[in-house]
Amino acid sequence: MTAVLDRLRSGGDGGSPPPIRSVRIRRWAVVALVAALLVAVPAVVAAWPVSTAEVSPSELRDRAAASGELPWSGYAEASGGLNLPDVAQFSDVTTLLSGTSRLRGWYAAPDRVRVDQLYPAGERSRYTTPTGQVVWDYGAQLLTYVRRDPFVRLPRPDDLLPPQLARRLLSGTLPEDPVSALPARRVAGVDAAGFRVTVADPRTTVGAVDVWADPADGLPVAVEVRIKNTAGTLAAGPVVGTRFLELDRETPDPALLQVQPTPGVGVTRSPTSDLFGVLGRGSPDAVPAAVDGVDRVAPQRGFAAIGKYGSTLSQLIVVPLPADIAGSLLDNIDDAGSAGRSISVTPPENALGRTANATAGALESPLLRLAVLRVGNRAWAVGGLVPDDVLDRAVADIADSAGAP
Amino acid sequence: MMVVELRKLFRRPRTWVTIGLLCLLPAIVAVFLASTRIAPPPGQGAAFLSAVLESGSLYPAAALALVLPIFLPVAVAVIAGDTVAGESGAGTLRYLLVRPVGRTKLLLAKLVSVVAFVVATVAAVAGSSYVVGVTLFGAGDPVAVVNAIPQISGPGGGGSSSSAGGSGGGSAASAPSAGGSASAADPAEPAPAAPGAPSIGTPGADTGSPTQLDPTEARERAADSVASLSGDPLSPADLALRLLGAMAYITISMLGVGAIALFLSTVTASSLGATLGALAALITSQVLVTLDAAASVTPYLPTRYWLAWIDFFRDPIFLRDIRAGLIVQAAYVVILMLAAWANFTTKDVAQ
Repeated sequence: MTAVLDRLRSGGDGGSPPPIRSVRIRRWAVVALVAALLVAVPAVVAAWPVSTAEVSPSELRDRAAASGELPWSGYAEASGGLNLPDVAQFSDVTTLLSGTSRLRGWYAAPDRVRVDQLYPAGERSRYTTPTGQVVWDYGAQLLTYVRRDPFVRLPRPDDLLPPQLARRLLSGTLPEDPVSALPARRVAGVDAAGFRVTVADPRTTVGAVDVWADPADGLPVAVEVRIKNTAGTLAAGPVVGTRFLELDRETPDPALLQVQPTPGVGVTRSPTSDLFGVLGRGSPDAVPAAVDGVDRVAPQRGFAAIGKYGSTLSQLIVVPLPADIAGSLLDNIDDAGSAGRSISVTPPENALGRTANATAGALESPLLRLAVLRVGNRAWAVGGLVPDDVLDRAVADIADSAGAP
Repeated sequence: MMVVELRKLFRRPRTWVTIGLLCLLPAIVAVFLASTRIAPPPGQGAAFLSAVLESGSLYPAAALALVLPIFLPVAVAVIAGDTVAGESGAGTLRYLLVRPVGRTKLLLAKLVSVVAFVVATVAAVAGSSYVVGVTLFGAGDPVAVVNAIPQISGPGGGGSSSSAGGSGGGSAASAPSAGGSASAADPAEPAPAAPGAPSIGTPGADTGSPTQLDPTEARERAADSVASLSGDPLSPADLALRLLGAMAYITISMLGVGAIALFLSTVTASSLGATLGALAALITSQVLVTLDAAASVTPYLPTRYWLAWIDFFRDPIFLRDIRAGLIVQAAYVVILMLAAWANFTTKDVAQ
């Protein structure tokens, strides 16, 4: 290269050598050019125009909602900006929604799925099979065979994969919610068309669900959730976002979806892997028949104590808590600073006309709110993507029901 | 020229002292681990360190994780920072350039010697730690082997057996107690089930069907197998290949540091200055990598993908970050070697 540059510089006629200063400038110019080219390549690739097939936003929404049978495998990153404080009993959820999750997934069918959550030096995998689930935890060197989890359960990492999150959120929107087109994006090599469902329901904090999907078959490849303020105005940036960074549309190799335990690792079995699954095994009367004017949806068999109120994004979930756990949760909420809020509750009278102690507190985030209520020796957790007023009314209703004979 | 440079590098006692010190750190850690049998809690400490008590054949990976963050880049920065500046500081550079060898070629020979140093160091750390690991921890823990047999061979109701294994004790992993020798670190020891979750019976028939094996075969398989991060068993050959891949990746990851130090070495006559400059660049990169606010530049930082070597131990191997790491290192080497060339070939060497 030296020789070529020097020849160029001398005009190739064998003239007198140029001053070293101009050679130096020329060579540094080569360095600057190569550096600029290397830095520019990713920017050019990212800025390359995206062209998508013409699909109407409402048609794409229908396709995305019905994409459950489409196979895929890939890698996605999900980030949550809820900034929830770490509360011991819900640390998995608060961490999940307050940081970035790195997820590898293989999806052959709804009952043949494997999702690995990657940590810098570890991994937690969940295999869904037609007969149950298996969870592998590298840190604990433990394989857990799980019989089943309730339909109503705490958020898990696999819920944040774009297809799963999109379908779950879209199923909570109403057909009459307005749908509009968003600019197309290239996501993991897919020229994806985008649409926004603006959530009209004032009882939820969700303002809009933005989805980008493969226009050919509707597989969601990126999802963003935007919140709205009390006036209904959308926030500028997403509060939760997830997108594929690698995507393969072939059906994954069945061998990858099967657990192959290493000899020597611990193996255990559990009826459920979800906290709600444990808490929800009580009596169906443990939660009220209605909260904030919304009737309870018929409970799932085996998890009768989980109360689900509504089936849209404004749905509320109520589960009974052991009083000691509620006490420590309320202490955590007190220590949570600005993210914690105490709720004033009117203690209900029991049949003998006595009033029990009643305390309640809530963990606040822009999207998700979670309240803990303790009345005497009974306690409940109430959660949902709902604003403060809805949560407060729900807490008051549950407190009232606690005093009812 | 390259042979001369390599000879110069490997004839220096300093080179061997550096490599020896790098091998010493994992050996010290191994001695403490083996004598106390106290591994870091899962998820804490260096990668793989919590797993080495079960199998010493994983110790090379743990050793690489120990030296990678600080010691290896410091060693590379010292060697690479000394390449040209050391000659200049010692007054030997002008004599070196008197020889009928182009400066570009000299620079390439210096780069090759840095690469050779990294290869030798990584190989020495991995090799010595394998010997130390297998000597101190064994290739497979006998307690784990004994406990693993019922899981592999089926009868006995343990682990992945599809027969009803409702032991009712909070876990179905009803492995024998191995003569009471199961230690606290025993990986096959049943872990408590979720709070309030009683054990139940048969899991799904296809969620881990057992393979009927001859007990001797089972013992051998258990002795040889090491769990990947994804939980699948890795055979010794598979583990060796993944280790080789990780070693190659770590070697390439160090080239960016080497190139920074080599470039700075052509700028200054002080090898200490070049070394410290390279380390300052690395520390800056490490700080920015952890900063969410710097997310837009993170993918371009030289240390961003350093930990991707761990992805060799996932199943299937996760290539995304490995690929990105290779591209970033290649870009740093190209740009900085070009800069070193532009500077060194037009520099007035007075000393």
